[in-house]
Amino acid sequence: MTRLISPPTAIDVTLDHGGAPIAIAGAFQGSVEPIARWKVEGSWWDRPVVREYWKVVLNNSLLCELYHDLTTRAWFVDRVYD
Amino acid sequence: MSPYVELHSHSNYSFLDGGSHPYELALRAAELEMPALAITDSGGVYGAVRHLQACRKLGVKPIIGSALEVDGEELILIARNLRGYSNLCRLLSIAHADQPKGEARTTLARVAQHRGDLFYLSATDDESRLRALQEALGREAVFSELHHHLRPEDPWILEGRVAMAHRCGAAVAATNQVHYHVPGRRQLHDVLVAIRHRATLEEVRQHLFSNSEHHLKGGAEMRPLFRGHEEALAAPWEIAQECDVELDFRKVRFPGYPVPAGETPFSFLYKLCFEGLRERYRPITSAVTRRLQHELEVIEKTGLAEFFLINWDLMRFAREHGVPGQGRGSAADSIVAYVLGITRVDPIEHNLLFERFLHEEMTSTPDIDIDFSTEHREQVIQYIYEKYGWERTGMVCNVVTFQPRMAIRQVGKALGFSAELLDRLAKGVDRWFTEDVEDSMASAVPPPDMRPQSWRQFLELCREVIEFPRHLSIHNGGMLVTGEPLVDIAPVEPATMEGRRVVQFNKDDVEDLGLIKMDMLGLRTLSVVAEALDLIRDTTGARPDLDALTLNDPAVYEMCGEADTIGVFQIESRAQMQTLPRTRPRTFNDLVVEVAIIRPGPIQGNAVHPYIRRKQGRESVTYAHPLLEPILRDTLGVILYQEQIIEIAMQVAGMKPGRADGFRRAMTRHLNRVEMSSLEDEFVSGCLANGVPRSVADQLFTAVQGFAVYGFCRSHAAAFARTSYETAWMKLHHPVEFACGLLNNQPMGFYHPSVLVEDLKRHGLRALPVDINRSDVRCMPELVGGSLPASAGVRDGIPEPLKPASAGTRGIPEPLKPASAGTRGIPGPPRAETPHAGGPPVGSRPLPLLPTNFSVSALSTLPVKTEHAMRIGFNYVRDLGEEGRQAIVADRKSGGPFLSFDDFLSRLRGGPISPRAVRNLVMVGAFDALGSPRRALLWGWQERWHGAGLRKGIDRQSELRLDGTAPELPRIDDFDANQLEYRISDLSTGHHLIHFCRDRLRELGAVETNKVPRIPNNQRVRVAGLVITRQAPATANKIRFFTLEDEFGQVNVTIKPEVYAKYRQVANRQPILIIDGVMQRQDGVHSVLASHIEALTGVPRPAQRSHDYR
Repeated sequence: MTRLISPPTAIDVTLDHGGAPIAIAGAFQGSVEPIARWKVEGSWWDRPVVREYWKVVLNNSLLCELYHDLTTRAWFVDRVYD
Repeated sequence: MSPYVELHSHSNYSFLDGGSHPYELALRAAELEMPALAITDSGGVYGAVRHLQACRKLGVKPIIGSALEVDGEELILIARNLRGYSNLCRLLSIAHADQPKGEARTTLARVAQHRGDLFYLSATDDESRLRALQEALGREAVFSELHHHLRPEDPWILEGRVAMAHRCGAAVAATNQVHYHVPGRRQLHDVLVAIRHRATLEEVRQHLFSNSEHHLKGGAEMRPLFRGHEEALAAPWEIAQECDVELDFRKVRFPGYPVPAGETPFSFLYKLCFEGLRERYRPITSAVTRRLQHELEVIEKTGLAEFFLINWDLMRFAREHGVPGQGRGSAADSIVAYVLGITRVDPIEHNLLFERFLHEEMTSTPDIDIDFSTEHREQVIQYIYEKYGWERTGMVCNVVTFQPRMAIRQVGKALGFSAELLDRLAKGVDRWFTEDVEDSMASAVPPPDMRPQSWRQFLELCREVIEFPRHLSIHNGGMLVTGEPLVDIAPVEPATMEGRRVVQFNKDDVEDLGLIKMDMLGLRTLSVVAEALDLIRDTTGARPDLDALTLNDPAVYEMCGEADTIGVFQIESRAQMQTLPRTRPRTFNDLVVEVAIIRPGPIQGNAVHPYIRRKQGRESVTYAHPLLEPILRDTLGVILYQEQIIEIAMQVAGMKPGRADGFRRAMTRHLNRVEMSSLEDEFVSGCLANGVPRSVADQLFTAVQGFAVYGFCRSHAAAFARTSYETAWMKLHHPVEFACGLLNNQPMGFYHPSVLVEDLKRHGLRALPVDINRSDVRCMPELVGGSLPASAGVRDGIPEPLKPASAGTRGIPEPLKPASAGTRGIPGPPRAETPHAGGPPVGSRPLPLLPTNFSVSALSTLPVKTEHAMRIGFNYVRDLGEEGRQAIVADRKSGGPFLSFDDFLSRLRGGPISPRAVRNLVMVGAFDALGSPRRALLWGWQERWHGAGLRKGIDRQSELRLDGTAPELPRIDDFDANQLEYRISDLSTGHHLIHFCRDRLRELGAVETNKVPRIPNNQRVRVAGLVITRQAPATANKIRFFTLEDEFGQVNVTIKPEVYAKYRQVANRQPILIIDGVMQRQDGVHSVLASHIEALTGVPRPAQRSHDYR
């Protein structure tokens, strides 16, 4: 089952030297293992959305989706699979 | 580790689907150290030649291919070698045939029919499809194309496709499906997609890529995406290594000219040359034969005999069929071309350099461009098609690019700007556009708080998209004739014209491919000349032989020196008219310089004024560097000719002859910014190597650059100057016939027809208004003033004896009687219509031959003897149409003159003349001679036209149904008549429009143009008139030049940028201006330097008929 976190929850992220997330802190906390990544860039003519999404496993148990908003530089959790 | 190379790449020649120029993609590949790059545009190879050249220059291996829609899916085809390329061309041609214009699609069966030496990449996920491709095209040739664009679903699509390929035994190859060279261009690509769908970005969301990952990526970016599938990343390079396509078609360029038995092309050419020599040269000197021998030797060595034969044959056909034509361009440097009748300029007499046209090391093919009269050009093109066969002939294409206004409209629409804003922005763009988009939109730009959100992006996108290819059209007159069937050399597409095909290469590509292109251009001036000569034959009994003119009539040069050149080929523009009084050409060579120097080239290169100053001895002749002296000595140190560019490239920048010619050619093409800077580097470094200081090299390059695009080659200028001389001669000696030729072949030339008519009137000649019984289909000379014998005038400086009027004078000779139809041609005191029907208006006077007011400025100093006037033809009646005109004349021929308006109606009803045209004929005064006032004629006419009771097509404006009784209708006075004539014929045979404003203008203190020459330098003055030309410079911050016209003549106005900024709207939009300023005179040229510009109010606005240009 999957649900959207709405509004997405802001978190702090620790990155490895390759730029991939390895740990998060905030409403969700713990080490993360990235398993997929994709990029969405749209609506540049209106309200630009530039995001890099990561599908990660949190604390070896919870599958969730993070995204990095490349305009504000903030990170968010926006979906969990539970 | 194997390098990654990109095999699926769309340039902007995938129309409206590619965000980068081929050169940009090649450059990016070089930056990424990518060893090879393919170009695979949709449905074509339009960008292939550019891609090839760019890649070669940058050390990237070029791969040629195309993306094609096959059974609804995209298939990438890569050519392995020339045979594969030919197959690709054939396939692309098939894919375009029978499709709507610009679209290409085909089936797998077809692709299979043309399958040798090609590689295929398909991104299909349908296993049966992949198997079908393998079956049809060969397993080794088909690759499963893998993508990863960082979309969420991409990883498992990739895995699925790999597994499928494995099951089918197909190799995999990764590509990035590139649509732009850097991520930053993604926005432009999105906009292009929106434009393609004619919708806003919002509306086409689903058609847009979801991110910016479709840019050119190198191995570093690709590797993380294809981890575990390294063989897919290596495959493209393996494919690329197997490919080798050289596009050099020099060997197959000629279709094999059929020569008589026993002859070879060269021997036949030789024979023809010596025959022609005897005709052109009397006597034949040793210099002439030596030159001919030399040229023939070179022609033999370069194997171009057939090329000359093809052109000789073409000209022979033209002559035999009465089609006026003449060679232009560097061909005029050749005596072979001259004796074969291809050109009309004697290269020996005018010192023309053969090597500019052809030499042994020539890498490009020589250029023979031929001008034909526009009317007959089609006939000539058809002849070529028929003679060489449809398989081997096709038209060269022209890629239409985004122009500023279109860019603004389409980009803005994609961004969702309101139609209203777009309209304002696009219209607000000066017709003269500059690089700075925002500046050009100037007053139309909304204030910051009212701008749409994406305003900055809008500007940037417009800047990027301008000059992007938009779609294909036919290059006017460029034809390819090839040895091999055309489809093996280039894909051909159906053209809109029936039976015509257009190749996917433009004129520059064609040249680079080593193919021969014939350039058959339509020059309306040739139609004018041909028609005028025929009319002169009719009016004088003899048709002048222009070939026999000796080119030294002092009266002709005098006229040119006075800038009395409206209508004269190449020297009628405002710029020319400002220069002629300064340079005062006295010989044919002077005229050649005159034609060559007034082009945008020398003006930008800053060369015009220096040449004039130096010619007048005002400035000393200097050379920017000693190396330039031998090259520019003939032109006083100033670059005027293309030959000089070649010589500079060789002597100053150290280029080899072949490269120098290539440099000149490259400079004369339309290059984008990126290509131009590469040439600059080459030139400047060559100069530096020669010890030329940097500053001089830079300056020289700018001069060359400004010049090169439009600069003339000397021989070309000479060929044109010949036509200038001939048209000037005709204007001087046969002005009425010449004016008829000009008016009958519009649009053409620099001036609106009304200006040509005013010019005629100012020379003491008359234009007669449209008359139902006297006008012909076209404007014609008409004998006026009684049974005076026709004077043949002066012919080439020798007065001819008077002869009696010859047979064949057009129009009905007018017996001496009080003025009837002709009187409206005379400017004089206004004469109102008098209220009696039938008979000539009371108060009219017998016509004097000269108008009462005479323009002093710009008049020929010789009196012009003629009793002919120009009768305006039915071609100057709006809405009448060709059929209508012919109908009137034909009926008159068979049934005699029209006796009344009703007679006309009853004879011509039911024919091709529309009610609106009938109304126009009446209102322009065609029936005035028959007696009734115009408005009265129109009362209730529709019923007489259609028959009582029928009310088809009632033209409301002429009908006022008020119970049948005709009221007292207002008379047409002179002013009304003038307005009507302007509205219906767009000209005036009577008063100039300004005549009616004269009282008001006098009140305002405006000076008549014929008094302007007397105003001293630096004195304040007010002038006024109809704007007939507006010229703006290429860059925004330079001076603008306007010309105003009144009933007496013309006056030049100079407007500085700061003044223009103040009065921009008025200056641009208002047809009649009042301008205050300061008189400036120099060397016989005068102009008013404007300080204040205002519109004349209170007078009905005439339609804009100004020539606005850059």
